[in-house]
Amino acid sequence: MQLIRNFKLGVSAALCTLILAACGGSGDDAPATPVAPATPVVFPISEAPAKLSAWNAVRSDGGTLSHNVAVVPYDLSSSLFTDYALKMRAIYVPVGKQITYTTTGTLDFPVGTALYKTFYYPKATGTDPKLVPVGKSTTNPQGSTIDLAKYRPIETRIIVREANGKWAGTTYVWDADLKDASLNTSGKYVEMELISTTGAPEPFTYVVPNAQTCQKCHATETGGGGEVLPIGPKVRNMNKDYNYGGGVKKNQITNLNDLKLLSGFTGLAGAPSNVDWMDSAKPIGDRARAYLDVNCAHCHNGKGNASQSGLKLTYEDIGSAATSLWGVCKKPLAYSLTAPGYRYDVNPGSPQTSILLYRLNTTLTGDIMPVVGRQTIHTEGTAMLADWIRQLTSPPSSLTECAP
Amino acid sequence: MHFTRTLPSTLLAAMILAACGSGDDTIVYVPTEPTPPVIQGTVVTAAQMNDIDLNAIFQAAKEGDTITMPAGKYAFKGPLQITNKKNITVLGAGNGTDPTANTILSFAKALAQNGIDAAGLDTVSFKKFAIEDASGNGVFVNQSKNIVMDTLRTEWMVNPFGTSKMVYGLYPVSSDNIKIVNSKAAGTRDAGVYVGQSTNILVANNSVSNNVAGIEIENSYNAIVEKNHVYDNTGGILIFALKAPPRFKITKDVVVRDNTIQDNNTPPFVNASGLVLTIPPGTGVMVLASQNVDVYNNTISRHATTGVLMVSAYAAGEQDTSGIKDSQGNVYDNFGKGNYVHNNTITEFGYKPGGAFAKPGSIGGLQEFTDPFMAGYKSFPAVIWDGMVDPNPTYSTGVDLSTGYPVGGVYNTSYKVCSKANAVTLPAAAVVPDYQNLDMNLGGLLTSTASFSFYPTPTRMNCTLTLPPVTGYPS
Repeated sequence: MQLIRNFKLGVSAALCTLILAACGGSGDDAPATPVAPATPVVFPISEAPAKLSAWNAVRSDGGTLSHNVAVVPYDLSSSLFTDYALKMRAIYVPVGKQITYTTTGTLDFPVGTALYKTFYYPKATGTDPKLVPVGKSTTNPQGSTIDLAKYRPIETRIIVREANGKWAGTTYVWDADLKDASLNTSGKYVEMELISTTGAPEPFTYVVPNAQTCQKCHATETGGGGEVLPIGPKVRNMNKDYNYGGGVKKNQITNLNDLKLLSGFTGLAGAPSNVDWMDSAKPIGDRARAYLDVNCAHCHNGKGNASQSGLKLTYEDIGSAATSLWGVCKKPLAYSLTAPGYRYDVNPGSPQTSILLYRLNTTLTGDIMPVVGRQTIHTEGTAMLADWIRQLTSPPSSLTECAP
Repeated sequence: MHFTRTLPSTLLAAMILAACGSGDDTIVYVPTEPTPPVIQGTVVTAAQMNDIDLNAIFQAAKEGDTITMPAGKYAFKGPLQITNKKNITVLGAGNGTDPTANTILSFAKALAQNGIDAAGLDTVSFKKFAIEDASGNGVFVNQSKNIVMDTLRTEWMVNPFGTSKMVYGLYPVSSDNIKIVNSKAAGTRDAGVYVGQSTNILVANNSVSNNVAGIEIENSYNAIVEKNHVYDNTGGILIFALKAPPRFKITKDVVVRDNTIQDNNTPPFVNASGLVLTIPPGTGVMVLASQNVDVYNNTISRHATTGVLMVSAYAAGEQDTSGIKDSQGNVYDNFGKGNYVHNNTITEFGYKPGGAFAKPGSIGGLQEFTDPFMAGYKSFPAVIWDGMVDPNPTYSTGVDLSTGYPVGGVYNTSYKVCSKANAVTLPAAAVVPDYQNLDMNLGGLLTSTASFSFYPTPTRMNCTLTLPPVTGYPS
């Protein structure tokens, strides 16, 4: 047997030589070194390459992480809280294709579209060598580059509209040298500590989602189990200004139209817009609606993973006359509380007895909401929601506190 | 170099033949006996029994696969997720407590809720494993069909009454064709087995104990609950329709038969909350605002409040007249109709009514009574109906609505609420009133316009019903 095995190895070696010769080594017209394509390469997710760099959309030289110039950066008026991670987003629309404008749900992107989202944090000085120290920032920079001397990327997620019209996604976790990121479909736990200029360091586990976890949020219309969809890029979230650099600052929807990437757009008049929930100059009801829409509605809608709860926290439902649907004086159906004294999802005038707020203001397993993507408390967000619940009984609202 | 391009295939063939042919003399014997059947799928190693590796295996599972998990006790940091899969079996070595022979999945230290977290499944079986100490739910299956849970165990292991964070044990929801058999569910602060907003259900041969609610069928159609042992819960078997669920607002066509329902007198957990507190502790079977529920051939013993309690949404303070529709276009039905309790053996009941019956003025649970309800009576009866009749003339005649609550009235034939031919062992104290059945006439009590009917067999409950057939899980 030993003889045979050795001989087979010999054959393999011979094969390799032959194949290399046949396929790679010949041809006078073959370039000496491959040149990176100018535009991003969009793969079916089932054929996602091992390295992020192969997509040619988000690249790093170890000093600067940057988007390919062929992608369009964007951000959202209000975005999902993910343990204070900063996010750099971009859209790639294939050459010659256009996004069809719609204000219903997610923008109708053409087949071949890819969306990129890089999760990153400010660098920080830690207190525990076993934990990755990251800074706590409440404002998200704009732009298409990340200075790796100041920031630390964790993962870059990609969602693609494939040839059959369906979306699929995956994520890449950044390598230790920060020069590239590696495909990860099975998830990863990263032990971190959040360093704030005020207050004590907060140790937490950053959870890189696995492929099934992606579906829990992104199967927004199929109960967390079916077809996935992008969540953020809706007109109401993108209808805001963005600083593209070089003195160019304009509305993101207008910009897509100016780039000839948008069809069916007739102007911003009447286009919906969510407010920035952090903008204290805006009405508190609008801020709460924007926050809950982008943080909760992907599950808490009539078809999502939390549809069975009967609690709908969508842009359309929050503030509507069917108040029980957005939790007012609604008892939870499938939840029993760790903390006593809470009876209703939303108890107008009484944030201290509203389950919705309790579940956003805890990190206890089983109580924490959202169930994916959060291991720390979003202090600023919960404070705003407390203000919102507190004033729900104020005129002109006709809501009153629920029966005790 | 162009020359080589024409050569390789023949050259290769020659070389490979040479390689294969040269070892003939080392192959002495090729066994011809049949190899044991190979189960398609993955045999998971002990080293892979962590959520990163096991979730990757579930993600990669192909149609027809069996994922076989080894015996042992394994700790997980997050839920096991199975989404969008067809024809898969997840198989362990057993659902017992001895890790040398059983597959025990512990979630005591998990960062996110639920043991199994599944959605979008078609024809998936979960067999022979245990989920311990999962916050949230033990086995959560959402928006799926053809789901079998066989020989599972979900359990909160230590002091569930004070510390359980497991809300539901076995929890399929918004799904069709569900079979939960030969399993054990214990220590949840809500329901051990909970089937919600689903159709075509069989819950059989399970052992369900030390939960607030034992087995709960809620806002569902076509369910059979049979041959279960349900004991030491706050309430044993609950057939509920609640107003908020979006898929179905109605529960109908349910059979509860051949169950052994005992000692469901456990006080609600100190950390329980929500609608489960509606259950008066010491209730064997409770039917809330559901239609066509057939409760028969059960043995129901030792329940401090009552053997079988049938109430409308008014009794729970959960009535809904908003007109909000479910996915089928139906509005909530506040009334129980077509409910039939017969041929059960009911012993030792009503000796210490609990919950709202113990303190009628209390907040939450059953609403306040103005009648001195227990005065002169030594016990609660074996079967109680709150006596609320849907005033819609399609269903009834004679309901008085002048007080704002429906009072009195009689259901038309197939909508009656009947209790008949139960073998009731009366409490020793029983002399004059018959403690078999109580028609509470709650509408009258709530409005102080009428009293209850504690007749040997209250007239309105003295009837039989022929209910539509219930088929449960498709055979």
